[in-house]
Amino acid sequence: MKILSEITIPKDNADEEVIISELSFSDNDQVKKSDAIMDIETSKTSIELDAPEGGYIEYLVSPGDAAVIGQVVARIYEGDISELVKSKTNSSEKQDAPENDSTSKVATKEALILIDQHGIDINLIPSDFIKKEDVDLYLASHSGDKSSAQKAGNSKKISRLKSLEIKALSSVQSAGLVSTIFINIDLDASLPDDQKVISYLPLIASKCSQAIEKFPILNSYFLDNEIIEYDSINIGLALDIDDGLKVFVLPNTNTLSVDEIEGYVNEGIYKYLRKSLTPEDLSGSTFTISDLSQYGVERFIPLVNNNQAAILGVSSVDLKLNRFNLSLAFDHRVTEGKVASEFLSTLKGEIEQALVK
Amino acid sequence: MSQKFSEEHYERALLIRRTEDTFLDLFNQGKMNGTVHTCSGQEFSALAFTETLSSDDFIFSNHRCHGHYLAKTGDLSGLIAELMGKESGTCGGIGSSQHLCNKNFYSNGIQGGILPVSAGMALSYKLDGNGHIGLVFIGDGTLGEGVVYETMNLASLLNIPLLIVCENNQYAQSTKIENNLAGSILARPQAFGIKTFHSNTWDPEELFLNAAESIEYVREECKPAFHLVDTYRLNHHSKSDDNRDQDEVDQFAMKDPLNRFKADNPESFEAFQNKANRLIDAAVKDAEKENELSGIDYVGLGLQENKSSGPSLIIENLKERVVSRINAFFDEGMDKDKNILFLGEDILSPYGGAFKVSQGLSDKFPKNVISTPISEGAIAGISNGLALAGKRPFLEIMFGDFMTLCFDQIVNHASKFHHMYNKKINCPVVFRTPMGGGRGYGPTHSQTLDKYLVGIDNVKVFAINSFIDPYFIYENIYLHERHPVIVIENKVDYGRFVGDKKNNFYELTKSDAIYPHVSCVPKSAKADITLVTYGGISSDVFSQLDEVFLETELIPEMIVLSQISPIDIHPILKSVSLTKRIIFIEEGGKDFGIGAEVISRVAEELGPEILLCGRIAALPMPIPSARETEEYVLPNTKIAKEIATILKT
Repeated sequence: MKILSEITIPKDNADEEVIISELSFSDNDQVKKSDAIMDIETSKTSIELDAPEGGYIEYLVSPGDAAVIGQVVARIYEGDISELVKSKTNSSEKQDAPENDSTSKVATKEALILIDQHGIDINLIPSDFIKKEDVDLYLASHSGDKSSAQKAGNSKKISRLKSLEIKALSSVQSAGLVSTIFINIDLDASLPDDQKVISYLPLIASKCSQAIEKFPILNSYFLDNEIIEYDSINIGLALDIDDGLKVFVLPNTNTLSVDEIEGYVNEGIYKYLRKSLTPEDLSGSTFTISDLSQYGVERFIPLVNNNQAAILGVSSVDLKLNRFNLSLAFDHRVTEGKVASEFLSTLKGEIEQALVK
Repeated sequence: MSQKFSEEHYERALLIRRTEDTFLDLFNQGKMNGTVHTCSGQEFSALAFTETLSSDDFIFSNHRCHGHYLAKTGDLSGLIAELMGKESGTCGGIGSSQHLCNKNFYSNGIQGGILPVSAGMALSYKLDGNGHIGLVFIGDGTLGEGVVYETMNLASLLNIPLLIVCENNQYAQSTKIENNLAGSILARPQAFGIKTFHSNTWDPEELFLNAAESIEYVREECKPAFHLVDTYRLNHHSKSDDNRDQDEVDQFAMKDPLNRFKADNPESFEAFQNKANRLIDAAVKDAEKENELSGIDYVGLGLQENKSSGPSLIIENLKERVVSRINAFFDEGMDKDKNILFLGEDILSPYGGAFKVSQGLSDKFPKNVISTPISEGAIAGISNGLALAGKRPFLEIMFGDFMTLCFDQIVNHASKFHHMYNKKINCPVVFRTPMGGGRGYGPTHSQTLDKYLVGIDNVKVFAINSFIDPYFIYENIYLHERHPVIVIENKVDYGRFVGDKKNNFYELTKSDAIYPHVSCVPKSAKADITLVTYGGISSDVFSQLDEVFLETELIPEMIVLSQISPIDIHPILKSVSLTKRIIFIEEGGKDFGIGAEVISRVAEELGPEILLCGRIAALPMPIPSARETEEYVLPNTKIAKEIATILKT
């Protein structure tokens, strides 16, 4: 079913949030262009939203719901959507349940770093407010019984108040079948130092997405004894500047030029700093790159994200040895060392060739 | 009722003059405190107007009010005792010469400000339809103040039965009228469509007739009028500040009707004078035996606290916006009490006010919703006057920044009436206004000026937030407050939903006080730091609680105050005595702010126990319009970061 248009809550300069007061149609009703499809209420006034196209309507909200500016509240489809409407009503009851359970613990930044480094299951720490001292205490009393703890130059931080993300990370890691391999990218030794220390991230993202085209198994994930392959390559960049970890997505990375990727990266950093990253900016990545090159990191083991097969780590340039390290952590349930090594050496070749030019 | 001038009026004028002469003598003997402004030469103006006024009509007068007071009330002993600072004085010796209140007579030492207050009282009479009117005495010097013109415009627009009597004695203190006033006096009221009258005190007969005519016009037409009375004061402005040319003073002394009467009727004059002296001497002797009002009696028990004793209460999610809850208070309140009035600019349907608080009210209660011109000073004064006359006015000032234009009425009128008239009257006026930025309205429409409005004697300040139902706050103000109140609302809060906030790690409750404070305490741990805040920014503090913990390793607990002046410090002390750390967060400027008061109170009580105190507030700059610059200047989005910074230093 083709979606002709999505109707979002417009900005009216009054509120961040509006209330849906009335829906003019029911799901799957046929609407004409410019039909008033719903009334929304701001603190100042009531506004009618019109259908931008004719077609079959699906509502994503109910009367009385609150919706934020920019939220999609309805879709218009080209054809009949009775099937979709049916499945929606069946599943809607189930969706209510997990809400309560959302976040059961909150941890400080420093605590999260430790939790991450030691691969601790956050639920084992007996406090809802987890401070660094709580983790220290836990580690002191549990030293030795976590053989899978990974120690490396890993300073990857988890986004704030999201122990959910820890769960996300631990879903792959906790299977205990993650392996990491390393490779060095050699630089032209004759270059002056300041030309060696540049951001290789856009180039790496571009070459990485092209390498993934040859190794599509790395663009997949493990679920219930099945391997599910994504049909597009969306590389996520793990950003962590000052405000916690966020994974910014480069949609269809393999179709973008290096310059375009650079534009996306700059925009992502800008939005990150302005705290204006939208859910769309942050969802749908199929493979992640974590770039710690600015922190003097020699090499590190990144953690594979939920619903992904691998993650690429970018370390800092070593000016004495004229090289920097790439690390690839991958889920052994999805693929194996041989494929990962081939992928990594293909990537090395592509990057080094591009750098010579 | 005789409206004719007769010989009896010489006797009454002489009593006024002799009384004021006595005041000057008593000052010279050191038996009086302060100052006095005599009206020698102007007495017949007072007599002419009170002759026709009924006892139910009111007079509002100024600093030169003894003649008006005696003519209206006849209370010689009360006036003398008042000026001698005695408990038996009209106002217990608190108000003295310029601040009298008795039998529908009021005076205040602020010039132009008495005009809108009088207009408000007269408007109340009109709303009650009781046929009574108001009279306000101003001087030629008063014509320099802008609020006079705001009030004339309003009085004419709303057809307020108020007679403005301008006694032109040709001097503003010591400055001659030529150096003070441009243009014509009468053309001023005429420009507002106000009917004018013109008389002088040297022809008392005509003055009495004209005074009667102007009063009848105001009463019959239910419209304002302006009566200019040319006159001359024969004494100093107050006690020893007369630099006028003696020839000029002598000329007017010869013209003075009392002096002419003395020349023409020496025996009658002598008899009147002896009688006046006897009355005055007796009153002075009586007063001398009286005591001054003790400081303790004057101060009384102090302000009652906003006490909470019982258990904390659950905060309900009302699923309604702040703005609609405020609107609901007026909607339901006006239905029950016709004395509730909603005043402000642009408040009529269909517009319903800049932030829609009054939406629909004027359709349902056309008499209770009074739309005004852009005249914040005058409408503040009119609201004060309505409150003095027993109404329950709620004045909306469209943007908090405009509160500065109401300041004279808040500080010199509303705040002072009750005490300076020795608790004879109350002024239950309510000023409502939205403060705060976040909407890009720029420097003069975004500031949080709360710190200029707190700490005013006898004026309580409340701040609406989106945790406590504003209906409940307003209802309690209506039920319990008998003195002036300022309510700070918040522009961003208007659109927020009351009580919809939730954080699984914290328990959110309110106290059972009539102006509850909100407590937000961690459910399963002991708090390490107390965050105190109020108003719109409390939503931002709440939404950053997790981030505070994340950044600082300290578990926060939050207190949101509903009343910010005077502050009940006890719930704050209770929390800080456990956490030992306090940070106050406000959207206004930091220096000399609400946080400064709270932290000093906490320091006074807990002193060395405190490990950390800090304040987070806006930068000391006008609020920019540009989005990101505004965000930079305001504290709202970076509370957790700032707390982390305070902890690091």
